[in-house]
Amino acid sequence: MQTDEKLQQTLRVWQPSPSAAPDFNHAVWRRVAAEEDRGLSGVLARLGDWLVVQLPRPAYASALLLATALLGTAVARLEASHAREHYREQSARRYLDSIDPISMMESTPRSTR
Amino acid sequence: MKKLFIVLGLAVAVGLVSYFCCYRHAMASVVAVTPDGTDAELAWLKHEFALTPAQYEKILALHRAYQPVCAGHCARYMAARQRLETLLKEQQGWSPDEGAALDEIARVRSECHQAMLRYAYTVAACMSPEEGRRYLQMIDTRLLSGEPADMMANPH
Repeated sequence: MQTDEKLQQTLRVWQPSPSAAPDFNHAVWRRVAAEEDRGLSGVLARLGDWLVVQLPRPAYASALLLATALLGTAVARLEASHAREHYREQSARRYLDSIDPISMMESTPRSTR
Repeated sequence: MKKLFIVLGLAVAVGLVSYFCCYRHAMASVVAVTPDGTDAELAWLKHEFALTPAQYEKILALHRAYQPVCAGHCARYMAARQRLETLLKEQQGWSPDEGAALDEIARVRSECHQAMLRYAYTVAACMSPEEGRRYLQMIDTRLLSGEPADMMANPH
């Protein structure tokens, strides 16, 4: 009986104190990070980190320079193509006006009417 | 962060330099004034119809010989138009003078187009057969439609 009472008393004052799992803190931070990553701010933050940390590295920097060179070339070729086409039309018109000014004079009022 | 700005600055500089170099290279054949002082449209003609120097010299001579003829037609046409405008303002009814002015305008226009066609055939004969055909097609389009909108549909 005494033993039972002692046992009862011990059980009454005993508080369970389980120790945390070994990677508890890590898991919590991982979940916090996952939550942050889901939002736009997370994406922007990751992009910012990538730009600051990864982009200046030689491989990415070289790729960026190559890409801008190609982009500049492509845009220039496109614009030059339009400009050359415009020049061809204008030159053809000027040449024909120079050998046939009467048609030019007759077509000008018609087109502006 | 400093490295990032350096890389971005370099990227912009490379893009701009490649743009300007490529644009300049692509537009190298486009000339506004020829080195020998002739009109830009003749320089265009030379490039467009792939004229050899000898062909270009012949066509240049033809063009220079044709210019006074063309200017004469132009002056006669302007005078006839002016005369018709004056008659239309002054007279309230039909008069034989108006008919004569209209006849003169039509006559000058016809003479001008005949002279242009003669000039065009002579110029086309100086070109290679294929380019000559393309040149005459351009002239025909102009003569028939008056507008050079679609005449350059077959680029060189």
